[in-house]
Amino acid sequence: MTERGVDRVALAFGIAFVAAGVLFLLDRLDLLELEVSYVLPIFLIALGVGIALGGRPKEPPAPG
Amino acid sequence: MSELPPPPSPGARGWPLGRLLFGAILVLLGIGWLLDSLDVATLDWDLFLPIGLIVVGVALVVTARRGEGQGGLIALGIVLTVLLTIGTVVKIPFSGGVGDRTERPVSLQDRTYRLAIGKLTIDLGDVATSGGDPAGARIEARVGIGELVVIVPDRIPCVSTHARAGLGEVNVFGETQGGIAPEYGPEDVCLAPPVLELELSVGIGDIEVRRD
Repeated sequence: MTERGVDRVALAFGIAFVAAGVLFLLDRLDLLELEVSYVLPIFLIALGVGIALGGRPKEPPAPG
Repeated sequence: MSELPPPPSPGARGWPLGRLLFGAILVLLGIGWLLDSLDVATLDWDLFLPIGLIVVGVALVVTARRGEGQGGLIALGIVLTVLLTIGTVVKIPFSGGVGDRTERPVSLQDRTYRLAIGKLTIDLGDVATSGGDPAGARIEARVGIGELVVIVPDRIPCVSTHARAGLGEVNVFGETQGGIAPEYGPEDVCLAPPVLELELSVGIGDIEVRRD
């Protein structure tokens, strides 16, 4: 899905991946302790946002 | 009669950046894996995978304006996220190698051991109890999938142990817990200040701490 030349789904996934990657990196460096009770809900939220954005109906073409 | 304009050549729009980055990431991943397998270089996969996910995310953000299909990058990012989520939930390290390994330290010092898949045995039978840090030493060991065995000699009577598994069994000096996320301690086995601290974890598998 694109709007004004921006792929909104790719943008949403990109931001989510960067955020998740930073959290996982901090966990691996023992600077942050990721717990199951945090990781799984956040994963579900991110997945839901991605699916919702991907299912947004396209704008109808302008008449004329 | 007007002539139709010639169709644009395939290379006229330039390389699709998303596909180019996806391919480059796969190539780098393969080269790193190959060098690791050949023992030419050691990759810390614990850091490589999160950094790879960040790179994929940045690539998606950068290329989002171009309106290209980013299916490959999104799929790669989802695979990395699922792998890292599983690894975090059950505390599976992606580094440390595969196979059976036995460590026999000879001095009581802080040490860290990691094994991705297999059996890791830490035999403290050769440890000299004199000359080490009088404040005590800490041994941290983590196994992803498999078995972790620590053998403590009677010469080291005071041990503080914290052992946990994502899924499996934890047996510390005969006290056994099993199932999902079994955990022991941290608990000392004597009244005197412990001279050895054990921090043990297994993603999927068993932990055993026993006397020799």
